[in-house]
Amino acid sequence: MGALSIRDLNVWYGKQHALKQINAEIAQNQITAVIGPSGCGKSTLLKSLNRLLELNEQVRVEGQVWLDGEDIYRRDRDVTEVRTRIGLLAQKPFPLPMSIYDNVAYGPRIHGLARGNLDQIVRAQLEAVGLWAEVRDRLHSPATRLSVGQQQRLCLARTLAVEPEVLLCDESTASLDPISARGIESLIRTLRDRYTIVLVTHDIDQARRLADAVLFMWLGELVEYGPAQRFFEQPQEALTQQYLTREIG
Amino acid sequence: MVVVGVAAALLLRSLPLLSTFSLFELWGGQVWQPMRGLFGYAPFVAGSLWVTAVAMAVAVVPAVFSGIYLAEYVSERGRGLLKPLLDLLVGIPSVVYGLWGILFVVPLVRDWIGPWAEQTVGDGLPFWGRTSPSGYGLLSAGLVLGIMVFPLIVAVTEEVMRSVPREMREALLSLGATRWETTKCSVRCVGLPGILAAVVLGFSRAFGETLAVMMTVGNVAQFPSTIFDPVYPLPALIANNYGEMMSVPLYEAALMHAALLLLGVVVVFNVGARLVIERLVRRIR
Repeated sequence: MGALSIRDLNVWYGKQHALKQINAEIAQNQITAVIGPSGCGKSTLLKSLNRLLELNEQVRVEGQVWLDGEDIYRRDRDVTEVRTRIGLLAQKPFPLPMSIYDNVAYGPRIHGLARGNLDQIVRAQLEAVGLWAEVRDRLHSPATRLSVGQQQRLCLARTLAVEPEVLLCDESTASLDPISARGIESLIRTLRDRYTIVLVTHDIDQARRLADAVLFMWLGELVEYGPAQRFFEQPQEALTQQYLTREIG
Repeated sequence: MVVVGVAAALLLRSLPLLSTFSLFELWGGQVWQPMRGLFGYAPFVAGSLWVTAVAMAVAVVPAVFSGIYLAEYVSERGRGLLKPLLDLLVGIPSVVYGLWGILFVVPLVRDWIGPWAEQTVGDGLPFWGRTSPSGYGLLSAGLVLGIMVFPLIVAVTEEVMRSVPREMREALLSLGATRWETTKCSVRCVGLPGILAAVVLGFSRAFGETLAVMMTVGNVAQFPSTIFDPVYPLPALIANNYGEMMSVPLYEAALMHAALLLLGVVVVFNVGARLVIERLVRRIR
């Protein structure tokens, strides 16, 4: 469950060709890191995987992204179902302007997953992200009063409460302090067994710590994609070598 | 500051009236006969409130929904076409609306809505039995006024909804929320105070609107018994009479007091709304 297959994916912002002919198979229950300099199309690639790109009316997407044998861009495909199965953890934590409890409960409520045991779902998800002990006595206070690190963990709990198969992380530790960032990182590592994780990062060391596979992008093109060990120890492309040794980027 | 200055000036000029009558006599008084020294404001205040109420009843719900629709569902290009049109509607002089009211709305009420109401609902519903055959009255003025404040409320509501952060929209959609669920949450969690402010703005505009109302409302100082009755709102009273019959004792002071009353209602309403909005904002944050 949760294997992704990207086939001949092209994205244009107006006239600008932002993603050029991307092909990649993303294995399930692995952490795939997408790295590259800023502006290379990492986030565009990530947002094309749950069709969030189409919010921008200038965007044109061509190609296919298959999730478990079905193209998510198929014309009659229900986009909310796609986004339910493919969750996103954004760069900056954005708690919904409601209570901590309601933040986690929102997804299960709209998808009718609750059926009376909403309290249990909320508790289980908050425990999964290690937030339960910190917030158990103020579940109904506004989520915006949490610290930024706590907010990002809450956002993760909110995403997981919808029971997705794929988890997309868009530089999800970039706006956090180092300790909170490490917290999120170790959470992501524990989630590998249950989800397919695609993680965008500009931090090569983070990719080294977390990734099972690495996808390197440069100016909208996929340069190199392979298992993390080979990628870091024996990069096949000259561009990858230069990027890893920080000669470019 | 300006408001305080205006209020002080009006108060000063209406002092002669206030020293002769008690506020209770003035605000509760039902007869307006300046020649006999009777200044009862109740029918005018009632007239103002009624016209505004009808206008708001006509405009608020469609305007708020139009504003939300414009912000959330219309494409960038469609919005680019519609927004200048809205601004244009807001900018049309009220005398033009008034003329249009006389030429179109008044005959519509007189020849279509009135007879229809008489035949179907009639006295079965309170306030719908038809009494005024002229077409000039509460309903006509309310309709014109409703159409006048409609674009204003739409424009402000649209601005409010556009200010909902993009991150929030993305967060909701990423959870698999439909467009409608996203809209609902944006309105409830973020937009509500702003939308309320839009409605208050519409109310203030409607309550103080003079010309278009004066031209269509019939101008008879009475408590309306049906929605077709003519009434006489405060702004029309001032505009129609100021500068005439100034030799009548206390008349000028009485009109000044009418203006003060008008200002007072708008200020009280705005302050009240401000309090409600602040409470809402605090509850959300």
